[in-house]
Amino acid sequence: MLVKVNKLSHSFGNHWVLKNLSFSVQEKEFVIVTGHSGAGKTTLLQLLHGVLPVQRGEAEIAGYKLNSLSQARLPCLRREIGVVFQDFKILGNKTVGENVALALEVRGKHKAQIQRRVNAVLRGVQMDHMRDVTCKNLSGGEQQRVAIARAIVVNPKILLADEPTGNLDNDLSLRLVQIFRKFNEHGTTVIMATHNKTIIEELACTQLIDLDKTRYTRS
Amino acid sequence: MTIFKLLLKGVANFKANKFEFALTLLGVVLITFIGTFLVLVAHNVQNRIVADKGEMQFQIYWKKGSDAELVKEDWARLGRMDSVQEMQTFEPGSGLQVLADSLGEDLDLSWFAGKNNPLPPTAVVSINLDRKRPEEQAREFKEEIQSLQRVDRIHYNPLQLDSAGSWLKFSRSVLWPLNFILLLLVGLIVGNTIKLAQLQVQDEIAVLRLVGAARWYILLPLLSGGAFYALAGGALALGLLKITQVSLNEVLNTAPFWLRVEYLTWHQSLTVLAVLTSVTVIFSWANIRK
Repeated sequence: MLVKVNKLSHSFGNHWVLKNLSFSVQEKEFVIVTGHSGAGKTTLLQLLHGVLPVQRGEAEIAGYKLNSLSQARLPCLRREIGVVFQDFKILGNKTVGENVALALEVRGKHKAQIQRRVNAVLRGVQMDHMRDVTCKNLSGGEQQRVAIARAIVVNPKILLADEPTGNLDNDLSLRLVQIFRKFNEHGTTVIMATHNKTIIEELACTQLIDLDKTRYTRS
Repeated sequence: MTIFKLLLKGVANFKANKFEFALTLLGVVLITFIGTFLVLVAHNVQNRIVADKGEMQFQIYWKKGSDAELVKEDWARLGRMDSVQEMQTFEPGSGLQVLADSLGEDLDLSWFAGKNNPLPPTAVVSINLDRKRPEEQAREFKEEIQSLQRVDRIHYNPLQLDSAGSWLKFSRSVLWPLNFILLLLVGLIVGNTIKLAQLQVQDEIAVLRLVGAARWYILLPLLSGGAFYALAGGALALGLLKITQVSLNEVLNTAPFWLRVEYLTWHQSLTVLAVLTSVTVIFSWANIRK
């Protein structure tokens, strides 16, 4: 079991965003988390990424028990995970190539290896021609593709994606989702939060977690 | 090797933000200069106090009729003592002459010359008192002189010892802490300036954390960058202070002031750099902790 969530609850003040959520994810699954805005999709992904602490319930990801995970061990967990954030979290003053390379640099990869991987991944998200462009000069959609490239460049065991297609048109959204799909076929477990109905309908996911209904559908 | 690379990265990061780096460095230099200038003033005031008020005079009388050659040997021995700052010696004849000169021309003391001279050989010795233990040093000096076989008695003014002791105590208990507080203040302001400069990399730190960077991976470049700011800024400020000290000395070490302005000692200069670097590194570290 790669992800195991048991009776997970999370509140911001008196407002409970997640309540008694339980699910599990096997290796190589493609999971979609959906729900209306404010249903807790981002909160769930942030909990799984160790950004938010577990308040109630239990959560385990890639063998790391989040309830008892120390700050010192947190980077180890994060090196197993690739993440695409809703607000991209890319560095505007660095180039596209530098932003993508960052994830490999912190893992201590060699320069030549970094160059090779970055080039390959940028080709995959059709951003190779913009490798040396500073990110603050990119459109929202382009920044999002940089964020996706940075998440997948490390060949993560698990890929968490929070509304990765939020700023993209339908065509590009579907193309990028196909990249996730291909990635998933190569063995990466993908957990993607989206409220894009087209993607949910088009994508044959293995598990759909609808936070509106707290209902889990396994295909 | 990775650690070395990360340390270098902290310094190399300045290339990417040249303008911010120059402004921050200028801030560090100016703050350090103002702080160290005050330290320089305090240091010179302290030197002045020690030179003017930290002295003690002893009048030493040898036994009447002592062998003149042996007395001269005693004087030579006194002259070699580290604490002796100044010494005036009087053989009976020269002592009588000084006495006659001081009493005026109307008084004839010539009939005291030769064998009738009642004056013993004497010496007036000034010593620099130790800042930390003036009373003990004066007592030890007196005991050492008294141990000379031919010395008859020693006179000194206890009020002078009290006064010197009080001035030295003032210098020790006020000026040294003042130096320390000034250095700490400079360190805190510089640390805070660098902290503000590092705020611009907060986004980068946040992203590095999210993509799995270990704590030391984030910490080392920031620490080395902060230390570089402190060392470069501190060194430039000390250079500026040296120029100021030389200029001030040229102006003040002439008539009518005759005030010699001395530069900070090596020990003080290194302390300035050490305090700046330590405080900056601590501030940078605290930045990461947040």
